[in-house]
Amino acid sequence: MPLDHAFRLSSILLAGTGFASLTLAIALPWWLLIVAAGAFSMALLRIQSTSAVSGAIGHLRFSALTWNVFLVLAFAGFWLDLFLISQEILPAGIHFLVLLLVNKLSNLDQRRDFLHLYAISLIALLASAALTTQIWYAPFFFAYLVIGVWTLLLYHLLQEQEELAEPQQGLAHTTPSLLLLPSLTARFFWTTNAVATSAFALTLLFFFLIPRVGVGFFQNNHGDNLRTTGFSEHVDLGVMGPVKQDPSIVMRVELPERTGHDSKWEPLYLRGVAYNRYDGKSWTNSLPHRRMLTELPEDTFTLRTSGTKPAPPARQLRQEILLEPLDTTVLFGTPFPTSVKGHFLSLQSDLMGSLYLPFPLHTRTQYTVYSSPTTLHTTEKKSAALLYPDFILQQYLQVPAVNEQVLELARQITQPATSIAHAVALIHTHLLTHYRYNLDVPSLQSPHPLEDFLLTRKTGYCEHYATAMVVMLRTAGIPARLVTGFLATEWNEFGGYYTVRQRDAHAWVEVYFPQSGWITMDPTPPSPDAAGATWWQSATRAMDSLRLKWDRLFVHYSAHDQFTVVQGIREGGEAVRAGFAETLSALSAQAAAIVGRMGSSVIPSDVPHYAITLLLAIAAVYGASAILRRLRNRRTQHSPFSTQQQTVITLYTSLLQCCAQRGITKPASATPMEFLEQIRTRWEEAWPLADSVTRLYTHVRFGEAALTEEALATAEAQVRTLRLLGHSTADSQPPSRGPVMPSRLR
Amino acid sequence: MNSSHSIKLLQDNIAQVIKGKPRTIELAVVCLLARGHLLIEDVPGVGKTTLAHSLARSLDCSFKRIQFTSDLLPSDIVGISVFNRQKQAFEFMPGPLFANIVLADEINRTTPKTQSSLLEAMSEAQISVDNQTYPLQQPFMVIATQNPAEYHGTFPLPESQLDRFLMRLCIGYPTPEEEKKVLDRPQSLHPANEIEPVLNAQHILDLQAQADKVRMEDSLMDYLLAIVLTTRQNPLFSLGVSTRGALALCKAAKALALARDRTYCLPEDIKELAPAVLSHRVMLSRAQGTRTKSVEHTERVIHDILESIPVPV
Repeated sequence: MPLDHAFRLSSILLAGTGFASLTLAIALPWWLLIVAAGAFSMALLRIQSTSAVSGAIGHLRFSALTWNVFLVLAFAGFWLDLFLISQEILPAGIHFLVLLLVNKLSNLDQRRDFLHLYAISLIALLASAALTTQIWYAPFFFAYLVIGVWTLLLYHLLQEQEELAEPQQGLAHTTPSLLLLPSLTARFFWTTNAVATSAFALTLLFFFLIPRVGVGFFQNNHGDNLRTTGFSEHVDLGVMGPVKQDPSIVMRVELPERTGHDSKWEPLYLRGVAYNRYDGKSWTNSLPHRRMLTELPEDTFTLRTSGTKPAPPARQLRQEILLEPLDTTVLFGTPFPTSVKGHFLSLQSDLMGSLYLPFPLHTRTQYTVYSSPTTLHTTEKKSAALLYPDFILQQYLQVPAVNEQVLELARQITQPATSIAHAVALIHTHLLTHYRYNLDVPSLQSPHPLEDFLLTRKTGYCEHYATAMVVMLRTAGIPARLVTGFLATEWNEFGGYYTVRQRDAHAWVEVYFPQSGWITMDPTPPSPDAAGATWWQSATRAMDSLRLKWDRLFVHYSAHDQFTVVQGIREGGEAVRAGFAETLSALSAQAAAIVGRMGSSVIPSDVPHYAITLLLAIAAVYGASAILRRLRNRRTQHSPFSTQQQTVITLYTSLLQCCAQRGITKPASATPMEFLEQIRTRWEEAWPLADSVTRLYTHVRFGEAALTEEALATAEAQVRTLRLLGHSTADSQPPSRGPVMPSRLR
Repeated sequence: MNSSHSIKLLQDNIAQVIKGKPRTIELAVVCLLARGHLLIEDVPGVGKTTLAHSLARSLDCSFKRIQFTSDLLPSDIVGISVFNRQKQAFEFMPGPLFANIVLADEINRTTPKTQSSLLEAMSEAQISVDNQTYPLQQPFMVIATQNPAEYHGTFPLPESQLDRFLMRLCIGYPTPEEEKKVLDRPQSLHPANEIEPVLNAQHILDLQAQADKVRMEDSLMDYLLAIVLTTRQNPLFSLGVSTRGALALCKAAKALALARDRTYCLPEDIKELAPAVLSHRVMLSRAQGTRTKSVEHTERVIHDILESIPVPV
């Protein structure tokens, strides 16, 4: 098969594969299928036609202008389709794509047309990949790969061939020739197929063997370096000692719905575990019962704890949390989580609203928590006595055997209280003002850590404060509990999130009010050594946000994320579409109003409306025709040659190629007749044929005479004869003079 | 009688006199068809005057010959106003320039002043004397002959004058066989006097009009301009081809196409005519040797330029 035929065929097959995968992925309208099938069969027929069939098909070729009009109409149809018919971008886009394909198939003349065809077929293949996950896609994909290799190889070969045959550039305008090139053998075909297949196999091997970037099998820092914990699941005040300031990052929290400057520096409490039982030394949970959370679609888990009331969704606080691997099963969130969204197998919660994973996580995890914050009701601020449920009274009033002095202290503090809320506030203020926050507690084993803190040392850290507050509240008959978690204070202004470190581990208090629920209170005074922001810290934060972005966008970019992006685009497109439609209708209404007003003022009211419509339509037609005319002018400027001139140029170029194979190359500065003279002296038997072809060429090329079908057919036959002549003589007797131009594909 | 036939007839007629120089004859005829003027430059005795003479004789129109000498005055060629006593007024006596074909023999023997008096006639085909403008007859063609510049007693033509000649031809010596034919002829008669006119003035005007209609394709015009542009940029030349030169090449190529029985130009038309049409319009820069070999040298450079410019395919 001649090289150019093979090239055309494989190009069309490539487009066909893309199109076939598309037809299987989406139901195309029947008329589009017919049009596309017609275009394919025409293109296939045209491959064979150099002279014989070209007559029949030649009549079916439309002018370039027709195709331009077709494209404009197709584009208009796309918008129509988008807004009125299918009302979605994907089907409308695919219909438009098929029309583009039809256009290109019918106009395969130049190099760039083929390139466009490849691009269109690639888009078709990708579109069908996006539309389906079925198994039949695989053979099409494979076929596309093989044919693609084929086509690109042939494309390259053809180009090489032409570059060899045209040693000069410059003033000469040349069009690519697809005529009269060496043939392909079956061996070439099978070799290419083998290469393509093995490349595909190798790719598959890579696909299955190369580790995914997001996994990192050999990453060796799982959990290890985070085990020197700031947060632990038990609170033991018995052992006192200096607390290590561990700066390693535990999580990053984004508040997507909270914007504005005021919120940035507001500390964020991330609740971990709550405790209700204090034995004088350590806190435990006497309600270990956990229940599984119900899972809703899209990885959402909801929970209702007994103490909280569901808030309206508008008041809910959404937090996007990126949790580092941590050797705890506790899941954190601001009080009080109502639902959690994330890729978890299951989630559990205990009766105090703490969330637990089934097992500790070993990879970085992203999840979203929806919380409804609680505030103290106004009615409860003033009330001197509250009616607590039995369950609360049972669980949250337990006080260990403590020193009388502690009880006395509590009594003293709460004496001036007018209401329960006031008593709570008094204890809170007392702790905040009379005690000193200090992490460097001398190491010692104390049997009564609370009494030590409250009465003798008057210095300690968060757990002491919180314990003291809970115990004092309980002695005053107010239900309270201790909560541990993290207090996020470090705002990363570059990435817009809170950075939470191990050293931010914190303990605080929750006080119960029957109507309001559990109210968060923190008796710990702020750490005195909170240094101001230095440039170094700010640089670190910038670095951290950069690292986070890298992690989000590249390392953990998954199919799910891709889907999210596509979904976003689709939703955005939908929104734009809706907005556009709205604007359009508003505009048209306005225009109608204006026209109506003008009509009533300028035109007498008895002139019917369709007169105005007609005028507008005529104006539109005129505008369109003006645009078309301009386009046409541009086109004629763009291509200096008529089709016939191009045909004879192609013909003459092939003549030159034949002669080049014989070793007679035309110098760039030689005129056609001078070259003919060269042929006469150096290749006598070819001269009559070359003479006839050259005369036809000059006649049409420079004389701009009409090219008749028979003249073209004769000339083509002559060039073919010349080529055979060149081959037979070139094989038997290599040319002795002139530069030898090896024919590549023989 | 169709155009190519009449042109052929004309050429054959001249060829009866000028033996073995068909190319030169063709170029001379092309010059006539392109409404141009011809400068024939060569050593004495190779048939410069005979060529001009036989071309003029082949046409049935008025012919004047002016022998240029160093004491010739402008009024001697354009004419002079003399006082007519009967009419009590000055009367213009037309000079020898008032003819269809004017042979300016040995044009470089006369002073630049007289040479320049031809300028208006050659470019505008009219003559102004004493504030009066007299149109010349059509067709009008000046055929000038000159000896190569290195000969004694010559005034080289100024550039502006040279530029007004469409072509400069060199005849060259004939081959021995051809020369023998010349010798073989009866010596008593001047051969140029023997030939009969084959075309009249109207024929020539028709042919000139047809030559104008010959079409030159766009890319050929680009080719032509590329040649012209290269002469302007070539460092070997201190003066390149003017726009008038480009126009001349275009006109000459069209005329040549007509002479070869075509209605359109080919690249060869341009390439073939370029040395004859361009070589007298350029000046070699000072560094390129003396004037001695200038004609040869110029033509060689123009050939090199032609070989460097790709012909449109």
